[in-house]
Amino acid sequence: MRRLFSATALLAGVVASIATSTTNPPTSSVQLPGPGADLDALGIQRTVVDVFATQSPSGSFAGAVMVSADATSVFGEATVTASLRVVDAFGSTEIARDTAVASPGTDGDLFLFDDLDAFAGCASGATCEQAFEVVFETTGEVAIDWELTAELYDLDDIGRTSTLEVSTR
Amino acid sequence: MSDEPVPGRALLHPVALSCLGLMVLNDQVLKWACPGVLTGKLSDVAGLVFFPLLLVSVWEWSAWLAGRPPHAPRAVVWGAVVFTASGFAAIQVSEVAAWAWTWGLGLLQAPIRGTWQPVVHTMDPTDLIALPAAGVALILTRE
Repeated sequence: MRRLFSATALLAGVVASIATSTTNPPTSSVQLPGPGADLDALGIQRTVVDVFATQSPSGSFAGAVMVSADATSVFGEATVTASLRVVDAFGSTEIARDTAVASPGTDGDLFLFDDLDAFAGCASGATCEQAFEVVFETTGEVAIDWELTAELYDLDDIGRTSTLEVSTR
Repeated sequence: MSDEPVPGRALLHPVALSCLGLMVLNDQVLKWACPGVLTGKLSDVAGLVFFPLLLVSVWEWSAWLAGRPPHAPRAVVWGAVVFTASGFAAIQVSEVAAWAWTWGLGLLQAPIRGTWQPVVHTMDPTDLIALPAAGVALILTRE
């Protein structure tokens, strides 16, 4: 009987270790539905998203920005490439890129990628602004629904509050 | 009744079972209900107590299944403690270790999520304050 209990504890321990939460929950999270993208053959759509983060009291925090996209209607077959770029004073730098083939039978996520160090340069606290550029390119005709999610994490674990706003330009 | 030692018996110690329950409760409920210093460190301490015992238990079950006595030598216990402590410290201070951890744990969680993506992990050197908890395994496994 003790062997059975021991085996059960071992199994529970393995499951608990794998399902462990690796960080505190975000102190703030916001989602922005993208404006959508109707792309003809060889179409390119660029959208710049501004993310404003404020926290109180100020201190160390980290941010994550995630982009997910679905193909909602496809004519024939389309190859879709999505990229996420960080915008700064000198232009923009690509931090993630993925390509997927969409066909009339395609549904569900085409892409999901994130920038876990989105606010790495904003550790001084107060208000921080970071712009991201979401770019879709396709070789076919496809409509895409996408959304951007931003989250903030309190690195000091002191329970500070934070707010996030996102807007497109 | 057989006198043969039970493999993984350290996991049946009340301290080990309490830490397992605390980890699950804190990760799934308390962190979300009251985020702060206490819930931020609680799982670290509980995990550092529990994980070396889990490794020792895996070793003992493997030995038992192989027909050998299910009794971990002290070297195995020390190895589990050092491995746990050094791995925990590394993911708090090393970018490379943190990167490997986020993708490695993401791989283990992939069957549940249905996709392989890194887990969210924020490096926090202040978490190293929990490191002595790894040594509890040395006490609990003393015969």
